[in-house]
Amino acid sequence: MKTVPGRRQFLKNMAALGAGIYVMPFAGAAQNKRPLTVVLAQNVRSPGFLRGVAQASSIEVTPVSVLQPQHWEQFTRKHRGQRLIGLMDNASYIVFEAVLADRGARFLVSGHHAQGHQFVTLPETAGIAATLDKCLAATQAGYQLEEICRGAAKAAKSVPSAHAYQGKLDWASVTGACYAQIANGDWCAGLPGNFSRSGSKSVTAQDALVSFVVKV
Amino acid sequence: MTMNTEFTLLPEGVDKEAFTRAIQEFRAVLGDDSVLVSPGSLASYSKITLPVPDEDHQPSGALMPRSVQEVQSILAICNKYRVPVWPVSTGKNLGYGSAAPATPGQMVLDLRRMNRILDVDAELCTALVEPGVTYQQLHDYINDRNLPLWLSCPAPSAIASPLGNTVDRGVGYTPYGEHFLFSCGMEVVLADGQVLKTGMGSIPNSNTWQVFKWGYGPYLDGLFTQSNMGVVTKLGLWLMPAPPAFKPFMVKFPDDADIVKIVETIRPLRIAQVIPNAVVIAHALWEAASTVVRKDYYTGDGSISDAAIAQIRREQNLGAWSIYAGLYGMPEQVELNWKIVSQAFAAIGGEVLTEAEMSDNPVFQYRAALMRGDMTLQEFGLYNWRGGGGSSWFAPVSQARGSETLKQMKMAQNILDEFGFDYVAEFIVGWRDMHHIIDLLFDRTDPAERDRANACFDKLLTEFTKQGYGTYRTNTAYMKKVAETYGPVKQDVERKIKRALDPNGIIAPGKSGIYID
Repeated sequence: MKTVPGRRQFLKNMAALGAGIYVMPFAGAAQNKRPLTVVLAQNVRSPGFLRGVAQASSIEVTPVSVLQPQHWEQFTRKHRGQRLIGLMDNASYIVFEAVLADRGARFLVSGHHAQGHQFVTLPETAGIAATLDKCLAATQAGYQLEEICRGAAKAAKSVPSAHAYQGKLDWASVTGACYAQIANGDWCAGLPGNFSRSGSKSVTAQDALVSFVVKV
Repeated sequence: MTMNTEFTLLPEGVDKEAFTRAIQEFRAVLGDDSVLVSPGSLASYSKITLPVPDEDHQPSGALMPRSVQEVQSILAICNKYRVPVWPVSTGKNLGYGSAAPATPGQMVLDLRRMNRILDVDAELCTALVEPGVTYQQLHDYINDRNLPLWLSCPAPSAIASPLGNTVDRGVGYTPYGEHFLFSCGMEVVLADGQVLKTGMGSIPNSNTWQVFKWGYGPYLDGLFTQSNMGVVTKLGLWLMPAPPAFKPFMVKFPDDADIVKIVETIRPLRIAQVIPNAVVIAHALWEAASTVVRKDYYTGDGSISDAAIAQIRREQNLGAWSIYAGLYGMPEQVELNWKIVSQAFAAIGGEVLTEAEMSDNPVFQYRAALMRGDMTLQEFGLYNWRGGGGSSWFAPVSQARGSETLKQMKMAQNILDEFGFDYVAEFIVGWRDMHHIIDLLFDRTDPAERDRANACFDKLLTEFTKQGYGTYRTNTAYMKKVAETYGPVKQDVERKIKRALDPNGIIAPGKSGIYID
């Protein structure tokens, strides 16, 4: 099953889900970019993440059943050359990553979200933890952010700032927005880092998910 | 270990200039697209699920040969520059280290492009495959040709390699589930470039390579399993003829203490081959963890509570233990054996359930699929139990006696409780042995929990060793420590063999704790 909601319909759906009034921080961005494909494992729901991705682009949501091997060939053939954004449960992700890596896909960034957030980035996608830190610092939430950069990260070309993300500031929407920039090639790489703040955590192991951007 | 702006990492003892020349020579042999050194291209080789830092297992690159000749050329270059390589077939050794090397700086020798099915003989029920062949590929090959053959695969099935699983001495769930036992003949590229064919494979014009295991003189195949003595590039497999009748079944027992009589009942049936496949005895949490998530039942601190386990059992209709096994053969044989088996389990208070009664149960369905060698990925659901991507298998071996079970279970539960983890485990009764498989599941996003998981694994290993329980297989972070549990003489012999076959130590240093010095 595949759904291709228009931006208006998507926002309407978000409102129906209780997302409330939504502010688009990148005015005009959504209209100018081609749709980004967001791959969701079946049963994964995260309106915040989708809302974040939609800040930068219109989106196509593609539910996948990763544990059904017969879908793999068709999936990779269809999306060859594309940058896909994804959000999955741990089991689906571990299979998805293995299958796509076997077919030459390159994971540009991945994030494990449980009691903390652990991102694995490349030099060109580094700086996500710092961005999340800046955004979440404006909230009351406690958090633990770790970023492992595969390779030597270069100094930031420009420092991502919290005011770039004007929607609801939670880990999911900010991560989604960052991933949309990466998928669109708009991301300004920063430096990896580890950050934490005490307080009630915005994520617990109860919400364990894995997010990623992959070039198929 | 030296970080570098051009390379991800330099191999230990190799300077940038030498590594640069080595890479140039690798590229001359393999082509640019088969020599990976950039960080982005190495992500899938660097990922681990273990409770240790990623950098402990960071490779310096990856090489992707297509032929035996290319493997020979790679090893020549490795010897020249002292660059170590870590061979993997498909790199799906999940929970044991995945594709990442035992020590940082090795180049992954990724054999997935060597993926030819060289022969399948439906009459002799044999196959000859290369390392990159997956179970899915072999399964499809057999199905496409409608051959009356069954595979035996481990739980990751579709994405794993028969060769890789066999040389790591993995197991499956059919009567051919002791995979190394059902292998026959290897081709191995040695560190000096020689190509060894074991068993009957060295006889010119022989057609018995895949049918007679022993050849002549010392039996060498074992040297190339769980080891770093060579690079296995072909493996013969014995395949199971599709049985005319197959009857998978499960038996549920209500109490933890039932495990003693369960094993006492199974052992004679297994040794006499009335039940011909390895019998799985899954604890309630293992059963639950593949289909439900922890947070729906327990959100407190520490190990999951007894009350929560009781609730899971009630809602999921689970026993304390669930046994899975199958009967195989002619219909008359299966019918007769079914009477023996069902009566034996009923006599000790088990609830015996057949496929007809469990047709809509997803756990039974995936267990039944594994017992007939079908592809299923359902067991990956374990990764969702706790979340956070951490998993490390602990696998001690014992005699197949009931008296071993409760003792081991209590030991494991006490240690897991101490560190706040859950007992997600199963016993697998082989012929005379029993594997106690514990999946230490933890949240890798929480550094404190990661450290606790590492300490917990270490204590499991230490305490089980003190009681005389050896580990049959382990992850890359613990290979050296497990090797030490087997004593200095065995390690010394392995070191001497390693020095003789690979004097520069270029093949997988640290694999199973084997080094040249």
